[in-house]
Amino acid sequence: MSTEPVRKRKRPNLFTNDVRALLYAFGDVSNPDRESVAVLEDILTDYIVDMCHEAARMAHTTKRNKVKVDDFKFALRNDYKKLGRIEELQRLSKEIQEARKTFDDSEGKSLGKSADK
Amino acid sequence: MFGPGLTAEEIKSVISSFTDEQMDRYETFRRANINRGGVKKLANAVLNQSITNTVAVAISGFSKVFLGEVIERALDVQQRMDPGDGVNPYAAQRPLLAVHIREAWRLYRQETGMVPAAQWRREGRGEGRMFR
Repeated sequence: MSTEPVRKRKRPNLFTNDVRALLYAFGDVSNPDRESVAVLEDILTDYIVDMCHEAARMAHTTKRNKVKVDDFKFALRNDYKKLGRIEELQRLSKEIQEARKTFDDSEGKSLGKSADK
Repeated sequence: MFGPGLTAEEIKSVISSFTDEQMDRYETFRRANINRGGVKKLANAVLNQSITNTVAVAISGFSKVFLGEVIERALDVQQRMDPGDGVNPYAAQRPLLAVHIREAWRLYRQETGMVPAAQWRREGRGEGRMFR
């Protein structure tokens, strides 16, 4: 059926449902072909692995072992779409944190007042 | 969030006139992502460390963009390889096939040249075995 060389390694099936949902999300039919999902999941897994290696390379150049988001940002410096997405997520995450901080502060104040009674 | 060329009002107006199917697809588009647990499992194994939540979120984020790029290319490939009769506008949509995906991935690599670490994958019989 498949013209690809026989794979002897077993693939981790970490993202099958995500890939299926995203195929539909980006324009495929609501029930995507099973082999398509499998192939795409393989491609995705390989991609994440390769990007992790790239980021690790970036980290090593600064004598670091632990990767940071900055390492991925540098690896994607010529890819404006993915870089933009990372920066957008960072911005949103910051906004959520600040919103939580404000909420917690005001909650604390009003709780303090009622607790004094 | 939507980039140059479209105002928030224009986006809202488009979304408000979605059909049920379009709305369902759009909701899936907004909600679906590459699950963080899977990303952590994979990245931790590859890097032999415990990546932070922030890093996992970042990987999840740009991976979704990546998938979108490949899938959209695959749809173009499908259209090119199998244009259908071009007459019936109500013909059922055909599912993407593995051949479309693989061609899209080939085109992505060719047009992007941006997966440097994947060089070694093309060694050997193309499935990642470096030692023949």
